[in-house]
Amino acid sequence: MRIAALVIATLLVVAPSHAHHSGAIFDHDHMITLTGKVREFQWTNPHCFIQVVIAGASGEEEWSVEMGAPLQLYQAGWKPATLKPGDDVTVVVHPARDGTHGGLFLSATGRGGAALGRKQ
Amino acid sequence: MSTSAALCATLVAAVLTASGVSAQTKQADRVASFAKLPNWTGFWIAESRNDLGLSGRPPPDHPQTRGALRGDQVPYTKEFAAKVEEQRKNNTGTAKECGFPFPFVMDNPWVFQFLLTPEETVMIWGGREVRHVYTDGRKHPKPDDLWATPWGDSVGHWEGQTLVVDTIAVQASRFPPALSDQAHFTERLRMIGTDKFEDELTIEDPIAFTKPWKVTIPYERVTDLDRMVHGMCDENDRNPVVDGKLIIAPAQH
Repeated sequence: MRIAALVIATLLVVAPSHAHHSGAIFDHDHMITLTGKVREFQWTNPHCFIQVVIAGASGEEEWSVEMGAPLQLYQAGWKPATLKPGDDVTVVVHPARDGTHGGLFLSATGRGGAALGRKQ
Repeated sequence: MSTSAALCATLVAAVLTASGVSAQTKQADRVASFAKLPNWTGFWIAESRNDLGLSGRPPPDHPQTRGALRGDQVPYTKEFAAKVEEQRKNNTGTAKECGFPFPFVMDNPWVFQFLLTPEETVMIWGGREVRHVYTDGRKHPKPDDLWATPWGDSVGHWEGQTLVVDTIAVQASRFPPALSDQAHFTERLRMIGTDKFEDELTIEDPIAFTKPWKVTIPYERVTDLDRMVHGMCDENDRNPVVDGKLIIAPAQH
Protein backbone atom coordinates (compact mmCIF):
# COMPACT_ATOMS: atom_id res chain seq x y z
CA MET A 1 0.00 0.00 0.00
CA ARG A 2 2.88 2.35 0.69
CA ILE A 3 4.08 1.95 -2.89
CA ALA A 4 0.58 2.50 -4.24
CA ALA A 5 0.19 5.65 -2.19
CA LEU A 6 3.53 6.93 -3.42
CA VAL A 7 2.56 6.33 -7.03
CA ILE A 8 -0.69 8.21 -6.68
CA ALA A 9 0.96 11.04 -4.80
CA THR A 10 3.40 11.52 -7.63
CA LEU A 11 0.69 11.29 -10.24
CA LEU A 12 -0.91 14.27 -8.55
CA VAL A 13 2.07 16.35 -9.49
CA VAL A 14 2.56 15.31 -13.08
CA ALA A 15 -0.92 14.54 -14.34
CA PRO A 16 -2.68 17.48 -15.99
CA SER A 17 -5.79 18.95 -14.49
CA HIS A 18 -6.95 20.07 -17.89
CA ALA A 19 -6.85 18.64 -21.36
CA HIS A 20 -4.24 19.50 -23.93
CA HIS A 21 -1.14 20.05 -21.81
CA SER A 22 0.39 19.95 -18.37
CA GLY A 23 0.23 22.97 -16.07
CA ALA A 24 3.86 22.44 -15.09
CA ILE A 25 4.99 25.17 -17.47
CA PHE A 26 3.62 27.75 -15.03
CA ASP A 27 5.26 28.82 -11.78
CA HIS A 28 2.43 28.28 -9.33
CA ASP A 29 4.50 29.70 -6.46
CA HIS A 30 4.62 33.20 -7.91
CA MET A 31 2.09 35.74 -9.09
CA ILE A 32 2.70 38.86 -11.09
CA THR A 33 0.35 41.67 -12.06
CA LEU A 34 0.24 42.95 -15.62
CA THR A 35 -1.36 46.33 -16.21
CA GLY A 36 -1.69 47.52 -19.77
CA LYS A 37 -3.88 47.47 -22.82
CA VAL A 38 -5.45 44.55 -24.62
CA ARG A 39 -3.96 43.96 -28.04
CA GLU A 40 -6.08 40.91 -28.83
CA PHE A 41 -8.48 38.59 -27.03
CA GLN A 42 -8.25 35.15 -28.60
CA TRP A 43 -11.53 33.27 -28.03
CA THR A 44 -10.16 29.94 -29.20
CA ASN A 45 -9.73 26.27 -28.36
CA PRO A 46 -7.99 24.68 -26.65
CA HIS A 47 -7.28 27.90 -24.75
CA CYS A 48 -8.37 31.50 -24.81
CA PHE A 49 -5.55 34.04 -24.60
CA ILE A 50 -5.41 37.67 -23.56
CA GLN A 51 -2.64 39.46 -25.41
CA VAL A 52 -1.80 42.40 -23.19
CA VAL A 53 0.81 45.07 -23.89
CA ILE A 54 2.51 46.56 -20.86
CA ALA A 55 5.26 49.10 -20.33
CA GLY A 56 8.32 47.02 -19.56
CA ALA A 57 11.74 48.06 -18.30
CA SER A 58 13.08 48.31 -21.82
CA GLY A 59 9.99 49.29 -23.73
CA GLU A 60 6.69 47.69 -24.56
CA GLU A 61 6.20 44.00 -23.79
CA GLU A 62 3.42 41.81 -25.13
CA TRP A 63 2.33 39.08 -22.73
CA SER A 64 0.31 36.00 -23.56
CA VAL A 65 -2.12 35.14 -20.78
CA GLU A 66 -3.50 31.62 -21.07
CA MET A 67 -7.07 30.92 -19.93
CA GLY A 68 -9.48 28.00 -20.11
CA ALA A 69 -11.50 26.99 -23.16
CA PRO A 70 -14.31 29.16 -24.58
CA LEU A 71 -17.01 26.90 -23.08
CA GLN A 72 -15.47 27.26 -19.62
CA LEU A 73 -15.22 31.04 -19.96
CA TYR A 74 -18.76 31.28 -21.32
CA GLN A 75 -20.06 29.31 -18.34
CA ALA A 76 -18.33 31.85 -16.11
CA GLY A 77 -20.03 34.74 -17.85
CA TRP A 78 -17.28 35.79 -20.23
CA LYS A 79 -18.02 36.37 -23.91
CA PRO A 80 -15.92 36.94 -27.03
CA ALA A 81 -16.41 40.70 -26.64
CA THR A 82 -15.66 40.85 -22.91
CA LEU A 83 -12.26 42.27 -23.86
CA LYS A 84 -11.59 44.33 -26.97
CA PRO A 85 -8.38 45.72 -28.47
CA GLY A 86 -7.41 48.90 -26.68
CA ASP A 87 -9.22 48.09 -23.44
CA ASP A 88 -7.41 48.87 -20.21
CA VAL A 89 -6.87 45.70 -18.23
CA THR A 90 -5.06 44.45 -15.16
CA VAL A 91 -4.34 40.73 -15.14
CA VAL A 92 -2.82 38.62 -12.38
CA VAL A 93 -0.98 35.54 -13.60
CA HIS A 94 1.28 32.70 -12.61
CA PRO A 95 4.25 33.43 -14.90
CA ALA A 96 5.78 30.91 -17.28
CA ARG A 97 8.72 29.10 -15.71
CA ASP A 98 10.94 29.69 -18.74
CA GLY A 99 10.89 33.46 -18.28
CA THR A 100 9.07 34.21 -21.50
CA HIS A 101 6.25 36.74 -21.52
CA GLY A 102 3.49 34.29 -20.78
CA GLY A 103 1.40 33.26 -17.81
CA LEU A 104 -1.62 31.42 -16.49
CA PHE A 105 -4.68 33.59 -15.84
CA LEU A 106 -5.72 34.03 -12.22
CA SER A 107 -7.92 37.14 -12.27
CA ALA A 108 -8.53 40.31 -14.23
CA THR A 109 -10.20 43.69 -13.91
CA GLY A 110 -11.01 46.38 -16.40
CA ARG A 111 -10.63 50.16 -16.24
CA GLY A 112 -10.84 51.41 -12.67
CA GLY A 113 -10.99 47.92 -11.27
CA ALA A 114 -14.26 47.09 -13.01
CA ALA A 115 -15.24 43.43 -12.86
CA LEU A 116 -15.11 41.43 -16.08
CA GLY A 117 -17.60 38.69 -16.85
CA ARG A 118 -20.00 37.33 -14.25
CA LYS A 119 -17.49 35.69 -11.94
CA GLN A 120 -13.82 34.86 -11.73
CA MET B 1 -59.32 -10.51 -61.76
CA SER B 2 -58.97 -14.21 -61.45
CA THR B 3 -59.77 -16.04 -58.24
CA SER B 4 -56.10 -16.71 -57.57
CA ALA B 5 -55.19 -13.06 -58.21
CA ALA B 6 -57.90 -11.89 -55.84
CA LEU B 7 -56.71 -14.29 -53.18
CA CYS B 8 -53.15 -13.08 -53.62
CA ALA B 9 -54.23 -9.43 -53.32
CA THR B 10 -56.18 -10.25 -50.17
CA LEU B 11 -53.16 -11.96 -48.63
CA VAL B 12 -50.89 -9.04 -49.47
CA ALA B 13 -53.37 -6.62 -47.93
CA ALA B 14 -53.59 -8.75 -44.82
CA VAL B 15 -49.81 -8.86 -44.48
CA LEU B 16 -49.52 -5.11 -44.96
CA THR B 17 -52.23 -4.48 -42.37
CA ALA B 18 -50.56 -6.83 -39.92
CA SER B 19 -47.16 -5.20 -40.42
CA GLY B 20 -48.77 -1.80 -39.95
CA VAL B 21 -50.29 -2.93 -36.71
CA SER B 22 -46.96 -4.41 -35.70
CA ALA B 23 -45.16 -1.14 -36.47
CA GLN B 24 -47.76 0.78 -34.48
CA THR B 25 -47.36 -1.63 -31.60
CA LYS B 26 -43.59 -1.27 -31.67
CA GLN B 27 -43.95 2.50 -31.75
CA ALA B 28 -46.32 2.39 -28.79
CA ASP B 29 -43.93 0.10 -26.93
CA ARG B 30 -41.06 2.48 -27.66
CA VAL B 31 -43.05 5.46 -26.41
CA ALA B 32 -43.80 3.51 -23.25
CA SER B 33 -40.11 2.70 -22.89
CA PHE B 34 -39.22 6.38 -23.25
CA ALA B 35 -41.73 7.22 -20.52
CA LYS B 36 -39.93 4.91 -18.10
CA LEU B 37 -36.57 6.64 -18.54
CA PRO B 38 -35.45 9.05 -15.83
CA ASN B 39 -35.09 12.75 -16.58
CA TRP B 40 -31.36 13.46 -16.62
CA THR B 41 -31.60 16.49 -18.88
CA GLY B 42 -29.42 19.51 -18.28
CA PHE B 43 -25.69 19.86 -17.78
CA TRP B 44 -23.55 18.15 -15.17
CA ILE B 45 -19.99 18.42 -13.95
CA ALA B 46 -17.88 16.41 -11.52
CA GLU B 47 -18.00 18.09 -8.12
CA SER B 48 -14.22 18.04 -7.81
CA ARG B 49 -13.95 19.95 -11.08
CA ASN B 50 -16.66 22.52 -10.71
CA ASP B 51 -15.76 26.18 -10.41
CA LEU B 52 -12.13 25.81 -11.46
CA GLY B 53 -12.08 29.46 -12.43
CA LEU B 54 -11.22 31.04 -15.73
CA SER B 55 -7.84 29.36 -16.00
CA GLY B 56 -9.59 26.01 -16.31
CA ARG B 57 -7.07 24.47 -13.94
CA PRO B 58 -6.50 24.62 -10.17
CA PRO B 59 -3.08 24.92 -8.54
CA PRO B 60 -1.22 21.59 -8.28
CA ASP B 61 -1.72 21.36 -4.51
CA HIS B 62 -5.33 22.51 -4.48
CA PRO B 63 -7.92 19.99 -3.24
CA GLN B 64 -9.70 20.30 -6.59
CA THR B 65 -6.65 18.85 -8.29
CA ARG B 66 -7.52 15.62 -6.56
CA GLY B 67 -10.33 13.91 -8.32
CA ALA B 68 -12.17 10.87 -7.08
CA LEU B 69 -10.02 8.74 -9.38
CA ARG B 70 -6.80 9.92 -7.73
CA GLY B 71 -7.49 8.36 -4.38
CA ASP B 72 -4.66 6.89 -2.36
CA GLN B 73 -6.36 3.55 -1.90
CA VAL B 74 -5.87 2.12 -5.39
CA PRO B 75 -5.00 -1.56 -4.73
CA TYR B 76 -2.07 -1.91 -7.12
CA THR B 77 0.03 -5.01 -7.24
CA LYS B 78 3.63 -4.39 -6.27
CA GLU B 79 4.74 -5.11 -9.83
CA PHE B 80 2.26 -2.73 -11.45
CA ALA B 81 3.01 0.02 -8.94
CA ALA B 82 6.68 -0.25 -9.85
CA LYS B 83 5.79 -0.02 -13.54
CA VAL B 84 3.72 3.11 -12.98
CA GLU B 85 6.51 4.67 -10.99
CA GLU B 86 8.94 3.97 -13.81
CA GLN B 87 6.58 5.63 -16.28
CA ARG B 88 6.34 8.62 -14.00
CA LYS B 89 10.10 8.98 -13.88
CA ASN B 90 10.23 8.94 -17.67
CA ASN B 91 7.39 11.41 -18.07
CA THR B 92 8.64 14.50 -19.86
CA GLY B 93 5.47 16.46 -19.11
CA THR B 94 5.10 17.37 -22.76
CA ALA B 95 2.20 15.09 -23.69
CA LYS B 96 -0.91 16.71 -25.13
CA GLU B 97 -4.27 15.20 -25.93
CA CYS B 98 -7.51 15.97 -27.64
CA GLY B 99 -9.94 14.63 -25.09
CA PHE B 100 -9.97 12.63 -21.89
CA PRO B 101 -10.18 8.82 -21.97
CA PHE B 102 -12.42 6.63 -19.80
CA PRO B 103 -12.52 6.34 -16.83
CA PHE B 104 -10.82 9.73 -16.26
CA VAL B 105 -13.44 11.37 -18.48
CA MET B 106 -15.97 10.71 -15.72
CA ASP B 107 -14.04 13.04 -13.41
CA ASN B 108 -12.71 15.76 -15.71
CA PRO B 109 -13.19 19.55 -15.93
CA TRP B 110 -15.69 19.49 -18.80
CA VAL B 111 -19.43 19.94 -18.50
CA PHE B 112 -21.35 16.99 -19.92
CA GLN B 113 -24.89 15.93 -20.72
CA PHE B 114 -26.89 12.73 -21.15
CA LEU B 115 -29.11 11.76 -24.06
CA LEU B 116 -31.42 8.89 -23.08
CA THR B 117 -33.27 6.64 -25.49
CA PRO B 118 -34.62 3.14 -24.94
CA GLU B 119 -31.84 1.74 -27.12
CA GLU B 120 -28.85 3.63 -25.75
CA THR B 121 -27.67 6.33 -23.37
CA VAL B 122 -25.16 8.78 -24.78
CA MET B 123 -22.83 10.95 -22.71
CA ILE B 124 -21.36 14.01 -24.41
CA TRP B 125 -18.66 16.20 -22.87
CA GLY B 126 -17.60 19.73 -23.73
CA GLY B 127 -14.30 18.35 -24.98
CA ARG B 128 -16.26 16.31 -27.57
CA GLU B 129 -15.68 13.04 -25.77
CA VAL B 130 -18.63 10.68 -26.30
CA ARG B 131 -19.66 7.45 -24.60
CA HIS B 132 -22.34 5.18 -26.05
CA VAL B 133 -23.98 2.82 -23.58
CA TYR B 134 -26.19 0.37 -25.48
CA THR B 135 -29.27 -0.69 -23.55
CA ASP B 136 -31.02 -2.72 -26.24
CA GLY B 137 -30.04 -6.03 -24.71
CA ARG B 138 -26.94 -6.63 -26.75
CA LYS B 139 -23.76 -8.17 -25.39
CA HIS B 140 -20.23 -6.91 -25.92
CA PRO B 141 -18.91 -7.68 -29.43
CA LYS B 142 -17.17 -10.95 -30.08
CA PRO B 143 -13.38 -10.78 -29.58
CA ASP B 144 -12.79 -10.62 -33.33
CA ASP B 145 -15.02 -7.54 -33.58
CA LEU B 146 -13.56 -5.76 -30.58
CA TRP B 147 -10.53 -3.52 -30.18
CA ALA B 148 -9.43 -1.25 -27.38
CA THR B 149 -10.31 2.45 -27.61
CA PRO B 150 -10.01 5.40 -25.21
CA TRP B 151 -13.67 4.97 -24.16
CA GLY B 152 -14.07 1.22 -24.53
CA ASP B 153 -17.23 -0.73 -25.32
CA SER B 154 -20.20 -0.21 -23.03
CA VAL B 155 -23.47 -2.10 -22.65
CA GLY B 156 -26.02 -1.45 -19.96
CA HIS B 157 -29.43 -2.07 -18.51
CA TRP B 158 -31.83 -0.23 -16.29
CA GLU B 159 -32.52 -1.25 -12.70
CA GLY B 160 -35.33 1.12 -11.90
CA GLN B 161 -33.90 4.62 -12.31
CA THR B 162 -30.29 3.39 -12.13
CA LEU B 163 -28.28 2.75 -15.30
CA VAL B 164 -25.93 -0.18 -14.80
CA VAL B 165 -23.04 -0.06 -17.27
CA ASP B 166 -20.49 -2.72 -18.14
CA THR B 167 -17.39 -1.53 -19.99
CA ILE B 168 -14.42 -3.38 -21.46
CA ALA B 169 -11.76 -2.81 -24.13
CA VAL B 170 -10.41 0.45 -22.71
CA GLN B 171 -6.92 1.45 -23.78
CA ALA B 172 -4.39 1.98 -21.03
CA SER B 173 -3.64 5.70 -20.73
CA ARG B 174 -1.45 8.03 -18.72
CA PHE B 175 -4.46 9.48 -16.92
CA PRO B 176 -5.23 8.30 -13.41
CA PRO B 177 -5.87 5.72 -12.30
CA ALA B 178 -3.16 3.83 -14.16
CA LEU B 179 -4.68 0.58 -15.47
CA SER B 180 -3.95 -2.25 -17.85
CA ASP B 181 -5.99 -2.77 -20.99
CA GLN B 182 -7.57 -5.78 -19.27
CA ALA B 183 -9.57 -3.63 -16.85
CA HIS B 184 -13.29 -4.32 -16.50
CA PHE B 185 -15.59 -1.53 -15.34
CA THR B 186 -19.03 -1.65 -13.74
CA GLU B 187 -20.90 1.57 -13.12
CA ARG B 188 -24.15 2.43 -11.39
CA LEU B 189 -25.29 5.86 -12.63
CA ARG B 190 -28.17 7.56 -10.87
CA MET B 191 -29.55 10.84 -9.64
CA ILE B 192 -29.35 11.21 -5.88
CA GLY B 193 -31.25 14.50 -5.68
CA THR B 194 -32.69 17.23 -7.85
CA ASP B 195 -29.26 18.64 -8.61
CA LYS B 196 -27.00 15.75 -7.62
CA PHE B 197 -25.85 12.73 -9.54
CA GLU B 198 -23.34 9.97 -8.89
CA ASP B 199 -21.39 7.27 -10.64
CA GLU B 200 -20.55 4.30 -8.44
CA LEU B 201 -17.62 2.83 -10.34
CA THR B 202 -16.03 -0.53 -9.67
CA ILE B 203 -12.83 -1.40 -11.51
CA GLU B 204 -11.47 -4.92 -11.75
CA ASP B 205 -8.02 -5.27 -13.27
CA PRO B 206 -6.43 -8.72 -13.17
CA ILE B 207 -3.03 -7.25 -14.08
CA ALA B 208 -2.88 -3.99 -12.12
CA PHE B 209 -4.98 -4.64 -9.01
CA THR B 210 -4.88 -7.07 -6.13
CA LYS B 211 -8.64 -6.69 -5.68
CA PRO B 212 -11.55 -4.70 -7.20
CA TRP B 213 -11.48 -0.97 -6.53
CA LYS B 214 -14.72 0.88 -5.92
CA VAL B 215 -15.04 4.65 -6.06
CA THR B 216 -18.04 6.97 -6.17
CA ILE B 217 -17.81 10.09 -8.32
CA PRO B 218 -20.26 12.85 -7.36
CA TYR B 219 -21.65 15.39 -9.84
CA GLU B 220 -23.49 18.69 -9.60
CA ARG B 221 -26.01 20.22 -11.94
CA VAL B 222 -24.65 23.15 -13.95
CA THR B 223 -27.24 25.92 -14.16
CA ASP B 224 -25.24 28.77 -15.69
CA LEU B 225 -24.87 27.37 -19.18
CA ASP B 226 -27.55 27.77 -21.85
CA ARG B 227 -26.17 25.34 -24.42
CA MET B 228 -23.33 23.00 -25.28
CA VAL B 229 -20.68 24.57 -27.52
CA HIS B 230 -17.84 22.60 -29.06
CA GLY B 231 -14.61 23.58 -30.75
CA MET B 232 -11.68 21.91 -32.47
CA CYS B 233 -8.98 21.22 -29.91
CA ASP B 234 -6.18 22.25 -32.28
CA GLU B 235 -7.83 25.45 -33.47
CA ASN B 236 -5.18 27.61 -31.81
CA ASP B 237 -2.53 25.39 -30.24
CA ARG B 238 -0.04 27.81 -28.76
CA ASN B 239 1.78 25.27 -26.64
CA PRO B 240 4.30 23.59 -28.94
CA VAL B 241 7.11 21.41 -27.66
CA VAL B 242 10.45 23.17 -28.25
CA ASP B 243 13.73 21.54 -27.25
CA GLY B 244 11.80 18.93 -25.30
CA LYS B 245 9.75 21.44 -23.33
CA LEU B 246 6.28 22.87 -23.61
CA ILE B 247 6.24 26.61 -24.19
CA ILE B 248 3.73 29.39 -24.75
CA ALA B 249 4.31 30.53 -28.30
CA PRO B 250 3.98 34.25 -29.10
CA ALA B 251 0.72 35.25 -30.77
CA GLN B 252 0.67 35.45 -34.56
CA HIS B 253 -1.09 38.73 -35.24
